[in-house]
Amino acid sequence: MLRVRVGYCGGVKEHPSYYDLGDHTEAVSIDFDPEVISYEEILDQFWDAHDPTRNNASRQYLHALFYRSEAQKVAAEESLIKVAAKRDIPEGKIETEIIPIREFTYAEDYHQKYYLTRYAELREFLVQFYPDGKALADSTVAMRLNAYLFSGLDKSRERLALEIESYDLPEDYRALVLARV
Amino acid sequence: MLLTMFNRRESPAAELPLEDGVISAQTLTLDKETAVKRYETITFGLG
Repeated sequence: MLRVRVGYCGGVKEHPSYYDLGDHTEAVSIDFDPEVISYEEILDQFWDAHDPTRNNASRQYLHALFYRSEAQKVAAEESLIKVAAKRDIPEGKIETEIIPIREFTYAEDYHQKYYLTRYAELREFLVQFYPDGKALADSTVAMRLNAYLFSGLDKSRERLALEIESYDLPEDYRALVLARV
Repeated sequence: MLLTMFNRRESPAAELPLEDGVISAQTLTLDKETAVKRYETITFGLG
């Protein structure tokens, strides 16, 4: 994964916000390197991560795939057919929606890189390198730190040790992160 | 076939740009490295 940010999309309301979401859905948007992982492989993980035979009544919390192109739409629809066949259920039983993204609005800064908020000094250190909250949301360094500091992830200390130099952290922050992984 | 279709895109991706088409996080070494990589974007909601 190269970059991850959270936000709102799929609806038509202009300028949605957390407290005025309109018809949008809370979503995660991931930039990935297609030479490392394919769109289809991430789709497989998406389907495995939820029960597609149930969906929420609220559009805020939908299970949904948001496509940006005809190619993504085709891939998403093909993946739905594959999931239905794998589960031996009619495609009509799949409740997960496949809808155009329209526009993606970044969620408020305090929703981005949530686990970094538990390490206020480290987050403050990072903030100085980014002109605004959106830039921090688009940071690979912040994404990796957020993931490593999230205790629920399958983390590789060896991998972190190899790449932490490229985070440009001072020694004390580097030690803090390594100690928690 | 789909894989081939997706792999044609170059970064910064013209077909699948970031929402404003600009990756502004480019100060730290790793950010600089990833900012020039080819990428695609997937977006989903999980309730």
